Amino acid sequence: MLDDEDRVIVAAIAPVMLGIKGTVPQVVRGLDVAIAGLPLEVRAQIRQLFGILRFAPTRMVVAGIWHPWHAASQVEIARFLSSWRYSPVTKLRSAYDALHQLIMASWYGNAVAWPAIGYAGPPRIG
Amino acid sequence: MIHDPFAEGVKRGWRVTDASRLPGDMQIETDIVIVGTGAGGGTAAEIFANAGLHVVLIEEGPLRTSSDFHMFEREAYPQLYQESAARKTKDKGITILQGRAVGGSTTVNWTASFRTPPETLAYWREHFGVKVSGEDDLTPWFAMMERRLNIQPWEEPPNENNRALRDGAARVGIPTKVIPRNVKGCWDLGYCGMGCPTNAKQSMLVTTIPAALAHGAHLLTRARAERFAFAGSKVTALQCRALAADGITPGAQTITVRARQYVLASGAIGSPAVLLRSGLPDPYNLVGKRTFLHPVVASVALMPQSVNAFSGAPQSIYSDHFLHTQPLDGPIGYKLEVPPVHPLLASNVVTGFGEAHARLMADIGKVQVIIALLRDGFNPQSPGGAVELNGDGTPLLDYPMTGYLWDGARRALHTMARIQFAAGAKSVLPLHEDAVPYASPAQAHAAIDRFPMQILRTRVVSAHVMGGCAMGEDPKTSVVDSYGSHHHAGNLSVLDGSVFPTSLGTNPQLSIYGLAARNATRLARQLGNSRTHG
Ligand SMILES: Cc1cc2nc3c(=O)[nH]c(=O)nc-3n(C[C@H](O)[C@H](O)[C@H](O)COP(=O)(O)OP(=O)(O)OC[C@H]3O[C@@H](n4cnc5c(N)ncnc54)[C@H](O)[C@@H]3O)c2cc1C
Ligand code: SF4
Repeated sequence: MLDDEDRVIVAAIAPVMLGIKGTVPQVVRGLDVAIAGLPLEVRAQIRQLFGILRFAPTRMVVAGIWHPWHAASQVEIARFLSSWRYSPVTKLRSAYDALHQLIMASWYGNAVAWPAIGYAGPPRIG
Repeated sequence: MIHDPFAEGVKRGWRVTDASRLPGDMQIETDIVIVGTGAGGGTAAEIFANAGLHVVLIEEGPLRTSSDFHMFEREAYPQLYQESAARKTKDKGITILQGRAVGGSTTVNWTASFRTPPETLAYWREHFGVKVSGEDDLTPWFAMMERRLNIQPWEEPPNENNRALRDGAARVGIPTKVIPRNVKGCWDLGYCGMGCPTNAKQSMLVTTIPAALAHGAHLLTRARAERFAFAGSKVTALQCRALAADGITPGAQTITVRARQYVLASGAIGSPAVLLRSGLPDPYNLVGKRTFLHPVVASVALMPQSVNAFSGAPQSIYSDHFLHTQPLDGPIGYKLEVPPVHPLLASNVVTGFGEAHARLMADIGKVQVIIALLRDGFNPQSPGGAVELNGDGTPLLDYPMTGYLWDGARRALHTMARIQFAAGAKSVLPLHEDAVPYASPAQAHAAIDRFPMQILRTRVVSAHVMGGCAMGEDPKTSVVDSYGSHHHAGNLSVLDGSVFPTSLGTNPQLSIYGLAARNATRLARQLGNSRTHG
């Protein structure tokens, strides 16, 4: 579902969304899987969201990201996330929420994230 | 090894067909076809099969059994929930949790089991002409289903998450009670929401559906009911489509079922969607309307001690105090419970991003969460939502949050913070994008008073979808009669949570079991004991 250009965007946003240092390849992969579990209608909406983030003019005007994603600073990305999170436009708040949900799910659903939060994983049975 | 009675039954020859593997189209004749295998469909299937009727079950979701339940969120949500547990209302303001597998939502629910509150039944009688009198005709059915599913108040000590609700509430003078649960030999693991790995949860997956299969019922999975064909005043066939191997995309094969009796039990949103696609008579435009959610708001507390809210029976303590502090049709009341707290779902509902979010997640073991379920549908300012169809025929719920609901949400956030501080919380984070963790009650209450109450600002979720095929005696205000029989199609009944004309004011499963058992028993008697087809 995601192509290389989308993956660059996810790789840029994910560490800022998650508040962790370094890269998170698991999230980039996890997002693909997560999106594949969504109905066709919702997948189309996510495609549209990535379209806005990819296309330089909308990236600049709607997201306020003036550099290409691979060169955007963490501060710039955090400002973008906050502006959508508190936007008076419901659609932008929901786009923020979609990114929040997909990135958080891809990270915290993965066992690599658990040691840092002290979750030992499911109990062993049987 | 824990035994997997379902898998063993299939080996012994139960008739289960995965429609995604069908080599070609399929035609089936039967006495009764049931669409949906959740609380309503499962209950009905056992009763019909016991009556000697030939039953076919159509389920959109996959068959997953205890050996598939590994207690991993990333597996469970895509496999067992509608839209990977990320179903949203039309404006994306509310996240909806609904099951989508054999057993429906009962396969993933949290086991709280309550009878329908008498005041709710009284309201239905008075305002919708529903023929139910709690004492006389539903009580024995609740009692029967309580026996069938081993429903009893939870006798083990509550986990820390529930204990904090009980003790915090007690300190501020709010009474709580112990929740009855449908479990047998529960290991107290806390993973009910990912499918019970020990078969302790007495969901439809381990009780009524195996019983129906043992009586010769035929279950088709990954088969989506698309529409009923209708002629005169009767349904003449049910058209289904096999799903592709991914379980989401429509496949090429169709399944046509002809039956004497058609039963719709696809749950709220699901059942109205089948009716809307079918274009059955709906002269008063009622189908899908009055869909209710018990919209839930939540409050997160950081406790000084470990809580481990991912472990232990998820729901064992509740309070109905705020359902009774005002009239039923006055300002909205709410029920208080706690949810299980697992990392994936928690990370999603916890507001904010970056370091603040990461800090809270790092303390997940000390997090205590209370939820308030708003009792919607009893006031003109709470008309509920409406089910619509997307271009591809899949359903979408339009459920606007109204000022009336927001008022209750704000009061509930105050209540939950008060209880959490009384329980010893170091800080409290009401789930709202404008909130930060507050270290004192004064700060928390002052902030809650100022929150702009808007969608995608206040976190709102729902695990209780109800209504959309309201029951009643007047076709001008209801879709089915008090026994679930469709007003305009003689051989079609709706036996699930979509028939409630308001929300319930309590967790729905036992209300659905009781009503479906009553109505299916009556229907089975009417159809007589005739095994006409084989
Ligand atoms: C996470 C979670 C926790 C919950 N906790 C509790 C609890 O503790 N106590 C409680 O009382 N209630 C709880 N509930 C709610 C309760 O489980 C549901 O209200 C109840 O199961 C609804 O029963 P139903 O028969 O109406 O529908 P469901 O049980 O949802 O079953 C409907 C079935 O129909 C299938 N279906 C839908 N459309 C089609 C179609 N077109 N073709 C074929 N099949 C279709 C679905 O896949 C599903 O399997 C919880 C729900 C969830 C999701
Ligand atoms: S708490 Fe009990 S019912 Fe729930 S998953 Fe664990 S063993 Fe099953």
